[in-house]
Amino acid sequence: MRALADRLRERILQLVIVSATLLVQLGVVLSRTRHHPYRMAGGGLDPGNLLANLSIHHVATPILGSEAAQAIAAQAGWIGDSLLLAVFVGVAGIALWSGRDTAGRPDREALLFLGAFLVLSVSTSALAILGRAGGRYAVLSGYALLFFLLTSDRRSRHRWVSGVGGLLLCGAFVVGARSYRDSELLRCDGARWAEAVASWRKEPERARMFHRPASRELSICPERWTVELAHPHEDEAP
Amino acid sequence: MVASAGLLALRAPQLIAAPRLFAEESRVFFRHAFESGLFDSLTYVYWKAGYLNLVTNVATTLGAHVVALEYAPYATMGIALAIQLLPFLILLFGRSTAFRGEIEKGAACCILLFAPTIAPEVWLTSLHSTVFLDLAALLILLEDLKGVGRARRWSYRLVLLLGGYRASTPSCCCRSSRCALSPIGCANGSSSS
Repeated sequence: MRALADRLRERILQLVIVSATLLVQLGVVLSRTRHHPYRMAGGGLDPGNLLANLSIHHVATPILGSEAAQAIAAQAGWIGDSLLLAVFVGVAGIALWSGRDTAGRPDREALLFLGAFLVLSVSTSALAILGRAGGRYAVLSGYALLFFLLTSDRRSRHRWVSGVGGLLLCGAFVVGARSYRDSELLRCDGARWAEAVASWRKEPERARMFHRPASRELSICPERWTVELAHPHEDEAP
Repeated sequence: MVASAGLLALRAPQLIAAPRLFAEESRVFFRHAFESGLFDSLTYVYWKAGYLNLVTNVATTLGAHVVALEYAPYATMGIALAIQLLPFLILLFGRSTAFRGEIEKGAACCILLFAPTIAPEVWLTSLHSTVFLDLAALLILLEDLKGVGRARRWSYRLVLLLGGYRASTPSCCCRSSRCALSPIGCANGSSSS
C-alpha cells in the first residue's frame, strides 16, 4: 500500500523484496501443510478468546503492563474486555479526530500506525493456536499502538487530547521501566556454559571408564532446559 | 544512540557478559547446525514450526561451525543484539516521516526501550529476532526515501530481505496474507514461553 502511495522506484523494489520472501515462505509452509502438527488449531477464532486476546494482550498490556491487564481480565470477565475495547475505540477515534489537518484529513502516520496495530492484533489473535496471543505475539502490536499514541498526540489540535495522550504514554513508560529488569527469563544466563561444555567434552572418556552410555546433555536457558549434542566420532565403532 | 544502547544493555547486562543459548534456538536449531554441514544448517526448516527462520539458522551456524562450542552463545547473542539495535539506528539516523526532531525521536526511543509489551523471552535471542526485524521493517515503511544514499538503500533492502525469511508475525498490511496461510507462524513459533 505504501509502495502504491509513494510511487517511488525504491519503494517498489522493497515491495518486490518483501513479496519474494513471502513467496518462498509460502512455498515452505504449503510444502508441508499436511504434516503440520497444528493445522487443526483454531482456538483464536473462539469469540471469548478473540475478545480477551484483543482487549487484554493487545490493548491493555501496552498501556497498563501485563500484571494490571491480567488483573483486569481476572476481575471483569467478558464485560470488562468489551469495555476495554470500547474505551480503545473511543480514544483512537478522538485522537484521529483531534489530529486532522485544516482540510479535515486525519494524520497519515497516525493512521498508518493504527492500521498496523489493527492488522497485527486482529490477525495474531484470530489465528492464535490454542487461543493464546500474548507475550511475544503482542510485542509488535504494542509498539504500533504506542507509536500511534505518540504521533497522534503531537499533532493534536486540542490540549486536553494531547494531555490525555501524554499521560497514557508516560504511564506506559513508567510501567515498562518498573518491570524492565524484572523477569526470571532474564536472570538465566550462560555463566556456566563453558564449564558445561568442558564436562561434555570429558563425558565419553568418563562413560568408557564406568561402562555406561555417554550423556549428550548440556544445560541451557530457561532453567531445566537441556540440549543434546552428539559427541565427536560417537558413531564410530569402538 | 549510545544512551539507547546503554539502556538496552542495562536490562540484562549478564546476558551480554555471559550469553546463553535459549530454548529452541539451542535445542532445535543449534543442535541441527552442530550435527549437520554448513549448507544444511543454513537452509534448515524446523517443520514443527513450519517456516524458514534464516536469522536463527545463520546465528546457530556461526556458533556451530565458525567459533568454538564454548563461544557459541556469543555468536547467537551478537546477532540478536545487532538486530535489536537496528530499529534505533533507523529511527535516530534515518529520515522518518513520522518522528521528526530530537524530542519526537527521543520519545520513540523510549517506546522502543520501555514498551510494557517487550516480553523477556524475545530479549537477546536470535530465535525471536523476528520481532525487531519486523519493527525495523515498520520503521523503514515510514522513511522518506527521496534522495537516500546508496549505502542506506542497500541496508534497508537487506533488512527487508532478512526480515522476510523468519518467523511470520505479520509486520504490516502487505504481509498479513502470509499469516492467514500460516497460523503457526503467527501464534506458536515455539514453546519457550
